[in-house]
Amino acid sequence: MTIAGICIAGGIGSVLRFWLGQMISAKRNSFSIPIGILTINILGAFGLGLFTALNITNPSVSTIIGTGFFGAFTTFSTFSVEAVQLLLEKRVKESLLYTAITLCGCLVAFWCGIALLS
Amino acid sequence: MKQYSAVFIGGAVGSCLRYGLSAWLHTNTFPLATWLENISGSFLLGLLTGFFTVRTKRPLLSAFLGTGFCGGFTTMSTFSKESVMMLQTAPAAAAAYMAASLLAGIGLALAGVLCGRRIAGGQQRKEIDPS
Repeated sequence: MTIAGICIAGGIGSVLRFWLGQMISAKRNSFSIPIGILTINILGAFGLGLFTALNITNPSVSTIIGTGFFGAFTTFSTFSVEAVQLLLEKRVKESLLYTAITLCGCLVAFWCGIALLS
Repeated sequence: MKQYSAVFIGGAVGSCLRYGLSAWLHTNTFPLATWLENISGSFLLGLLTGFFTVRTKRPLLSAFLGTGFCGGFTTMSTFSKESVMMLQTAPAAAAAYMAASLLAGIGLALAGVLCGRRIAGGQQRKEIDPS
């Protein structure tokens, strides 16, 4: 049951990431770093923080939503590849900035999510 | 619509595998499973990205393997949760986890892109020049 739930929640999270990423990147933006996945990762970390603070006692529900949905909604691989693409374009400063904002942003967002509900 | 289905299926498979690996490799001290998932997923997505910068793009395959599978297999939210939790109990281990994730993730993504380009380029030359 839990596995089926994770499959569905993971699929939904991934589709939502795909859709939101396309929406953000479709808008013409003047930012020098890829803000689509950055926004998604920060949003997902914040959401997982809120969800963690709810202290759901049912292990299936917490795994399906936490690991399945929020886990799949956010992504590490796209972040790494985007950081590498900036490096390969010789935009080292932007790559470091993107990495720093992602790391700090996601950690702070998760912490804010927890703090807001507890 | 086809692309959305490909992302859904890839994401479902990736998420299940991530859950399975995390349950199997469960440790209380260091989040080894998430680390391995994130860095191996970064390598695979790098490989795909490198390959398709040389070869003709296959949107459906990229949606399934890249956005779906690699995206669903790797996670930034669990990484953030583990980092914040560890920062409160073992800050040195948390710093090591974050550094190891970023360095290995970006390093392996770079290796993936370069390998992907080489694989795609090597085969392409053969196609153009059969002699």
